[in-house]
Amino acid sequence: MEQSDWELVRQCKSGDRQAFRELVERYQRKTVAIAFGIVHDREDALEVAQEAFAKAFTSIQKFKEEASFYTWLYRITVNLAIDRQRQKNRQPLLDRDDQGEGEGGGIEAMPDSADTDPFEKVKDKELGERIREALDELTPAHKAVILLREVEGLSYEEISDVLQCSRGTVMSRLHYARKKLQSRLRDDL
Amino acid sequence: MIACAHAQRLLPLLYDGELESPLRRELSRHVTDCSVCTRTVALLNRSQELLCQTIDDHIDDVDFSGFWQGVEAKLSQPPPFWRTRVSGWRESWLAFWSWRTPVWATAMAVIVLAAVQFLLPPSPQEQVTKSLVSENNQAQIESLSTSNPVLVWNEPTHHATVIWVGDESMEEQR
Repeated sequence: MEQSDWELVRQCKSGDRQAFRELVERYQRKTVAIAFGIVHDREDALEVAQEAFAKAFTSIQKFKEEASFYTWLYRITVNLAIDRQRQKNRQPLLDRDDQGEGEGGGIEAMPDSADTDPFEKVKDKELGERIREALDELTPAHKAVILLREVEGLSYEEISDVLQCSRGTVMSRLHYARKKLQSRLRDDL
Repeated sequence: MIACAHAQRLLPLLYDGELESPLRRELSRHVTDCSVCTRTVALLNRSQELLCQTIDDHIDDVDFSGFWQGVEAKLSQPPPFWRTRVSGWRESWLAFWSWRTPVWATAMAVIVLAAVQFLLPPSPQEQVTKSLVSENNQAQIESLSTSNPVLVWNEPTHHATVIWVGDESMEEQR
């Protein structure tokens, strides 16, 4: 039978790395997805997610069991991803161009598949590009809100817990982010 | 019966499952009968679909086989040397202050200038000037010692008294 997050967290608190590995496997995909939505680079997203898990394990004693483990983990991830994005934005453009945009997986690089219709591939690539542009126009806080809601399916309450802001702020950020996304994707909607 | 304009504002809440039951039911009924609101919900749905699809397409390609090893490697890293820590703090400090720096610098400069202006005691010269002005145009020179010639000139039209102390290189007005 699958253990609950609570049980695994308790085991982690007594230093059980195997229990932590279970939590990592449970949330690795979601964590990378959140990080990817903010940093737009696969390698960076993986790095951020691994760092978030490492930080979660080292601070697990501080984790109060009033909140759920994943909202706490997502908070760490969002903060690290925002930091990473800020650091990247501070780098000169030349350096940024060198960083795996093509092969490493910028958001516009769609997966290759031999049986994909080339026209569909172009359309997908354009769509990915428009989504990237729409996300780029958002502040990290707005990005985080829309990703946590639309991709992770968190409730407003959970998002406000992750981002440490009010429910009203979540609603207004989400409204703004959706409008921005919809205006960019007008032709595809 | 819920008005369409009001319904439009509530639709994101309905879509996100954030509405309580009675209102949710009423709004759902409205959406069924209203083509405009049906389209808004469809838009919300489609934009979510596209965003999820784009993110998923990328995450599907990620190889998670070495993920745990990566986490373990980070866990086994020794705590950073103090220099690394300092540079880490510096990095995050710089990242945080990037665009705010000029604003904060200006604000701090104004605060420091205001503090200097209001908190420091006035200089002796300012005190003399103040006393000269405040005491109804009356001034008193306590002592004056000079080997140069001194000229006192009263100008009643401007209520001013000019005292010239002669000097070989320049004339000084007091």
